[in-house]
Amino acid sequence: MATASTGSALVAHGIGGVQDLPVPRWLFYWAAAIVLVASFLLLGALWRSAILERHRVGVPIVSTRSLQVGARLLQLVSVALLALVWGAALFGDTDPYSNLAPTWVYIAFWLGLPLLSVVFGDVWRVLSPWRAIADAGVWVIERSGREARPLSVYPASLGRWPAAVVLASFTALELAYSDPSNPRALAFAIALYTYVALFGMIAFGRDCWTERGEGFAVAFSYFALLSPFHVAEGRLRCRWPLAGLAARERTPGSTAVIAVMLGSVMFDGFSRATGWQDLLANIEGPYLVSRPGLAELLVTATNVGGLVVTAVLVGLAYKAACAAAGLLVRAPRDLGPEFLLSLVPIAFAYVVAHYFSLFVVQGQFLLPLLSDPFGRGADYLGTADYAPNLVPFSPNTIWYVQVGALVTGHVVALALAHDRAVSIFAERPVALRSQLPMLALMVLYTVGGLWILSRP
Amino acid sequence: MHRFRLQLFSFIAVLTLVGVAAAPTSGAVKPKPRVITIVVKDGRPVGGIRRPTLKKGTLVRIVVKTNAGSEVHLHGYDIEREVVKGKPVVMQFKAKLTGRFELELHDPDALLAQLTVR
Repeated sequence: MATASTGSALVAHGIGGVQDLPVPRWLFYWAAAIVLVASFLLLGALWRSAILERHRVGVPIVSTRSLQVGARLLQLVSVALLALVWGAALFGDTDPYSNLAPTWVYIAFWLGLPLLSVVFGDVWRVLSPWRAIADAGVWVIERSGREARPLSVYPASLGRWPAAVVLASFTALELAYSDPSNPRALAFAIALYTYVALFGMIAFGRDCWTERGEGFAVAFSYFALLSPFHVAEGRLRCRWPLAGLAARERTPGSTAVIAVMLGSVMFDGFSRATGWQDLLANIEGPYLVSRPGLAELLVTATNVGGLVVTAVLVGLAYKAACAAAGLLVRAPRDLGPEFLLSLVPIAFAYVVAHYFSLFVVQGQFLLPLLSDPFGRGADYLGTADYAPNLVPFSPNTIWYVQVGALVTGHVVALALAHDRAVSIFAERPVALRSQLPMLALMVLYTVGGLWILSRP
Repeated sequence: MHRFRLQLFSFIAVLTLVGVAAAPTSGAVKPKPRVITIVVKDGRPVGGIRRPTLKKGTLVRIVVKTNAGSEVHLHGYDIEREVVKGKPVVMQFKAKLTGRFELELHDPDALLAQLTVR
């Protein structure tokens, strides 16, 4: 087992020790070429009429009422897990590798839930411990014969901006803070987030805050749109995968949320590359010994700056492409809401490309950690001595998965945007023209993503 | 014929002797480790962050000479060595894991090197 005793300053990025090798340059060139050709072919030939929109509702499988008991049980487990992880963070061993909290938060939760959402739909609705606590609160109030009503009305113009801020703060803790896997720091973060989430739900209502302010819920619900499963009108339904994304996304601040989702993973990639690390070393160098606190602060501030700038650039690139498309087709309104959801597959592709090996390698540590969550030498499940395989994949496997994920994400995103275009524009030539800037944008995102993975 | 046999016999005997004598020495020759020396002054690696690339299976010896810090830590391999004043920090290991690994100094925390094993 790992035994890092002090903080691990520059190995930010949440937790984990082994980093992937950069994608070799030849593979990068090939992948970029495939992206371009696929884009060209897709845009030109396929998809003459909108297909996905028709399949958005899907067929009912089962009434949600029959799943109620199971959902309540999951909510109980989820609250218990929150208590366990928070307890471990607060009272457990300060070594991040012997404490359950860091690996649970950065691996099981932050990487596991996007995967679960893509496969099974909006599972966070049932798995969110904060939502469960709020549900329990409402149940208690209603049992005592009163009506559970939010304290005030949510200002509609805020839209999803609170969610974007929440997500940006979490990714700043993960990627910019100098000691992200410090259990005590996580205990503070969990407490703060619990407070904010419950405050938001009490103030504005459970559903309102979940959809607009609870950053994780918003991010996971976007990933869930890729899934074939969704709930509508009291029924669990099955639809075409991706069909959930064939829709307009008009809530203000949604672009900011997507920009943070894309930008944070991009920043994680290039902040590991040599250029950024040399920059950080030069910034903190003069103060390292004389004023270590200041050195740490400067590194964190530089990282936060890099993170914010990346997210802003990603968002602006999208806005610019939509503006250009609007000019090309003389659209009467902003096209931004029309194509935003087609970026979700790229966001998921980034997560897969950057984190799948970390997820598999570091995820194995959950076995021993769950058996000894506080790092006190316990062995509740009998798996405390499980020895993880630190190199389950060859570098080649990792590269092909990374490149495959990005290329697939790009093609899917392009198809979605195209489907939207033929749906909203009556004439095919207009639809195609509107897609030229989108094409440029997605090629930029994907080749940019590949380029970051190939940085030394 | 008899003489030739004797010659052959003595030849083999000598050869065996030489072999036996040589065996312990040749068996004792260890593969030479690839030595990576890093001089650290006030928490910073002299000459910038080092980025050596190694082949999987190489025997590596990392020597860190530092005037500050409490510990040197190689991530992934998770090798930790305390810094003892006046002595270089030495860690030797076989590079069995592929990937990139960060070598860090703690207190003050600084990145010293990034090891690439392919």
